[in-house]
Amino acid sequence: MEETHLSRSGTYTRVEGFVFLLLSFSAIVYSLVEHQRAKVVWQQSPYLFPLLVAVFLLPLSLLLIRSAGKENRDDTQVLFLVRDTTVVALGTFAYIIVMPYLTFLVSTTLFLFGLLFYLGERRYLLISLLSVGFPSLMYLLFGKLLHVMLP
Amino acid sequence: MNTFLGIFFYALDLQFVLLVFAGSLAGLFVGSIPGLSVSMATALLVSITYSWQTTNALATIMGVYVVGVFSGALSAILINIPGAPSSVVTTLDGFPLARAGEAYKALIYAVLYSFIGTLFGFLALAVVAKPISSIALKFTPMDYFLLATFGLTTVGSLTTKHFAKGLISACLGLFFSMVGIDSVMGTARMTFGVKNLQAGINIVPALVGLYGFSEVLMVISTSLKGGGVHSLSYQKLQTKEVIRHTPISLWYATIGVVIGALPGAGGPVAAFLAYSQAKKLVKNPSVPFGEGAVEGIVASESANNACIGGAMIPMLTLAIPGDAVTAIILSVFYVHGLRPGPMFIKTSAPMFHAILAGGFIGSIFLLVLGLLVAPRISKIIAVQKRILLPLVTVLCIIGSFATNNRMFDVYLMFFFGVLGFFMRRRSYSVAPMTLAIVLGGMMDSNFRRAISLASSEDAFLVALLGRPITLVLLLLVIVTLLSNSRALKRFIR
Repeated sequence: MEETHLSRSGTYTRVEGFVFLLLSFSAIVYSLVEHQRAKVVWQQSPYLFPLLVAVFLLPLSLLLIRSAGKENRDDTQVLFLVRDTTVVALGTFAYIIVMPYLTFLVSTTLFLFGLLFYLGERRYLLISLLSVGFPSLMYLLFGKLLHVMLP
Repeated sequence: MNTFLGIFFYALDLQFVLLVFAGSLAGLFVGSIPGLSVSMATALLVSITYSWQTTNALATIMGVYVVGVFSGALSAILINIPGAPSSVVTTLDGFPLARAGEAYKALIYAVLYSFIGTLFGFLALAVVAKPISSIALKFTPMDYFLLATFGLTTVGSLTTKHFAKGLISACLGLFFSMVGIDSVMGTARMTFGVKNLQAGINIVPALVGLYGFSEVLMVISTSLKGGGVHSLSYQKLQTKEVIRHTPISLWYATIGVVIGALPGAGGPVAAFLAYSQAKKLVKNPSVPFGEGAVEGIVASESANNACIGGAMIPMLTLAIPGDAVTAIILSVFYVHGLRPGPMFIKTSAPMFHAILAGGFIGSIFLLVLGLLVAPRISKIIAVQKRILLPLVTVLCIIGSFATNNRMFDVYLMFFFGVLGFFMRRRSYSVAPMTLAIVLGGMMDSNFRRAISLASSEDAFLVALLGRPITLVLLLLVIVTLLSNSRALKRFIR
């Protein structure tokens, strides 16, 4: 299950730099265009501060691009269990999406059962107890005591 | 005198004391289990305590904070994995002591000197907060803007190896803080037609995502395996021997308070500084430092716990949080409609007293739980992450939903969780972003107010930056920027 991910950090840093550069340009253009539409003086413009931050971000993105490939090797060779992380993130996303349709109790029970099993737990009694008991406890605690109506 | 009467009032309130106890108990477990953090627990608590009375919410959060910072030492001593970043230094001597069969001794030293550090930190807060507030009353909008900028730059410099990445993280946080209806002109900004964004990005799901869900993904992305736990058997210790380090621990605690008051520095920096001081000051340690010297545990634990009170000083008097947890506590105030700042101690004295009372009572629970319960929870520390993480994920979802009873906040939490995960993977600290999300609104309004005021004067720049405090703050920002980045210096040249 383990995959060692030797990140091509230089390339990634360069890509990040360009993404932030694009963000900075976009925010500058957005602030200037929206300020024109708002028809207020700059001192009171809601777009003054976004413009300031965007301008500050510009040299930082350039710095990042310049520093690409100069990171310490210690920072770049990090174990990354890509499959596990992706599965957990996607599983959580699916859980969030279906929750309003299946209700909190059903979706959480399914989610916990699936995730506990995927992460390597094989004691079925424990899995069942946690998958049913924990959501029920949370539902009661939040619904009855804290008046939070979970879906 | 009024302050101490106020604290006494809360100490007599049974509900308040019980809530601090509940928080302390939660903090003991959360702090000691690697993979769970005090920031994560406080972020979750903000959402759970959303509808509570502010003092009740503060009582619980202070309990978690005080005991959570200490209990990071438990796993540091028993399994050589710090439960909290501020306990990293405790592993240096705590774990060798445990390996030598003296885990109980290491624990007792950690408990006692964490208690002393915490008490000292909160005493400093009680004494120093008022004078700082009176100085802060002289601050102009520009001073506030520069102070917050200084906070962001120092956090950016201290929490990441790559200074530019720290600043980029802060910039992203500032962009997020600007989403929604602008407080000055009432214009919808950066909402891109999404109605749910008009009220702005709710801070609670953002914090739960950045500290809770991203932590879950980080743990899963590295390893689910845990180490062996050393046994903790009772040892007879001489009280005189244990307490003889008290005078020097006050010096370490002073370091902790000062470092804690600097935005961004926090427990780990204080513990390292105190440890290096201990190496210089203690000529004849019990055994050499790094091989199980109790003097090392004394330094680390006194300093990192004193940081709690220190971090509260700028948060309460200037609305500039000293670390991630105080940024979250600041959001508790905002969520409950309170505004920390120079007038806070005067206008919201009961809240100030509640924080102090929560800290003092929490420190007593630290002592009690540390001595009675901590030696018995070594098995819980080793709870398998494959069981813990799915439950934490569900808590993150409930916590973010509970704020406004809407699914949109859960989607936001997921977004910030994934964003936080990628940021951490690529060495972008999430602390500057957190601070920026919390401070962004204040920076924006103060900056515009400062520019508006100055533009009505003849000499714009003199009106904007001409005051001594403003110049000092501006210099601090420039020095922080220049001193932290060779690359930035080269770029400016």
